This record gives sequence, C-alpha cells and structure tokens, in this order.
Amino acid sequence: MKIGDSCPDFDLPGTDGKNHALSGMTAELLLVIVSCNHCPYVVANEERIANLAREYAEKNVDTIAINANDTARYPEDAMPEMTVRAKERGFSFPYVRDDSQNVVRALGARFTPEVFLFDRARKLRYHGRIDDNHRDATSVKSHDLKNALDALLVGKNPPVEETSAVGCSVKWK
Amino acid sequence: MPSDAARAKVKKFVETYVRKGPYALYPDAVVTDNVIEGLADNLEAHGKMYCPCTPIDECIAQGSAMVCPCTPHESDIEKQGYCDCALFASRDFVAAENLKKSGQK
Repeated sequence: MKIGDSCPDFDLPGTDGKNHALSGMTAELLLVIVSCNHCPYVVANEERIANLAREYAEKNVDTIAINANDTARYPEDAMPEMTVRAKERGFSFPYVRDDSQNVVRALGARFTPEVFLFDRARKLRYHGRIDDNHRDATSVKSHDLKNALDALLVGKNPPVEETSAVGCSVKWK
Repeated sequence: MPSDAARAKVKKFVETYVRKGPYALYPDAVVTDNVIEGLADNLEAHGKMYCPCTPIDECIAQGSAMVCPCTPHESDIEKQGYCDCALFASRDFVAAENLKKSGQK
C-alpha cells in the first residue's frame, strides 16, 4: 500500500469470539497492527502496543491487531494461543486471525509488527515501525507512530509518513 | 540499532554464504535488509548471529544450532523454498518469484 491508499475491507474473527469488520471501526483514526504471537520483535513491543492502544482509545483511535501467520508451520499463532496471549497481555483491542492472509497481503505487509494508520476517510497516513528501539522502550528516541497519531488527531500531517518496520517476516502459506 | 561494524560483518557473511553456497538471497531486499539488521543486533547484544526470528532465550539454549546459517534453514528451504527468516532461498524459488514478478508487469 502507498500513502493515501484506502484500507482494505476486512471482517475477521477475534480472540473474543466475535467478528471485527472495517465497517465497525468508527473512531476518528484506525490503527492496524500486523502482528503474531511468536515473533520476538512483537513480544518486545506487546506492552508498548497494549499501552498505546489503551491511551489512544480515549482519544478516539480504534486499534486492531491482525495475525495472518501460517499456523501449519507456527501452531503458536493459532486462535487458541492468540486467545491466551490476548488475556495474558490484557489487550483492550481486537486481536483477529486472517487465515486466508488476504487482508495482510492487501495491506502489503511484510513484517510483524508492522503498523498502518488510517485517517477518518480510512486513507493510509502512516506506515512502518512503532518506534526506533524494539529492544528497549526506555531508549526510544523517535516515537514515529505516536508522532503520527498526535499530528493526525490535531488535523496535521504526520511529521514522517513512512518508516521501515523492523520485525520477523510474515509467515506466508 | 546495531553498529556499522556489526552490520558490515553480517553483510560480509551473507554475501560470502550466497556466493559459495547452494542458496540465493530471498528475493525481497527490504526483507533481507531487515533480517541482516536483526542478526547484527543479536551479534552486538549476544556475541553471535542468533536467529532474529526466534526468542533469544531459545536461541541461547540451542546454541550453535540457532546461529545463522541455522541448522533448520536447509530443511526449511527444502520445504517452502526459503528459510524461516526469509534471508536465504533456493535458486528455484527465486527464479519462480522473478517469473511471477515479470508476469505482473
């Protein structure tokens, strides 16, 4: 996807037993995180993601995490394990499975975690990494996703629209 | 962020392995650069090019088996055409991907 492209439509089953569709995401901004259970980069970012989703939900931002990894090769990315993880980490946002991998392919995602931030018209406004230090949250110098969220929430353009996501490759079928 | 020295060491290893070994680089430079970055990160933090796509405690427990090129990379390439990190791929896989890309143009 390129900046300005529309969010692909989705309707995917979540760890809460419900389906979550693009049409049901009605907040000012929509944050889509391509994620999974097993990737060390995701694990290192999970607390940050959970905190960020909670903080920005109060500012009218919907968050959804999508796991499309091939469960034949990575059984720990299957729905039962995702459900356990969502509970353990106290995710306040939908954590959904994209078994067909169609949504994640349409997003053009390559990595986990990789973030896609959409505006009110569901056009892509920021794409890439969460920040510049997956290893240590206290050493982050560039809060790229937060900067984009804060800018869009006050009607400005993100200071940086694209960064390179750092993570494991999506496990394609 | 790994140092330039660590990154250069990993790049040199990857280039040599591809030049002398049976495999090619996975045909997406954005992905391979990302894996190289992860390997350099582990080299700097843990002293070895541990697989960046496996939890570090598992890597350390398995020792040299999870140092790039890891033990499972050959069977992964045989099964799916590329290693699980998507750094190395079979030459057949690369040729097929290139064919797909040229068909899309």
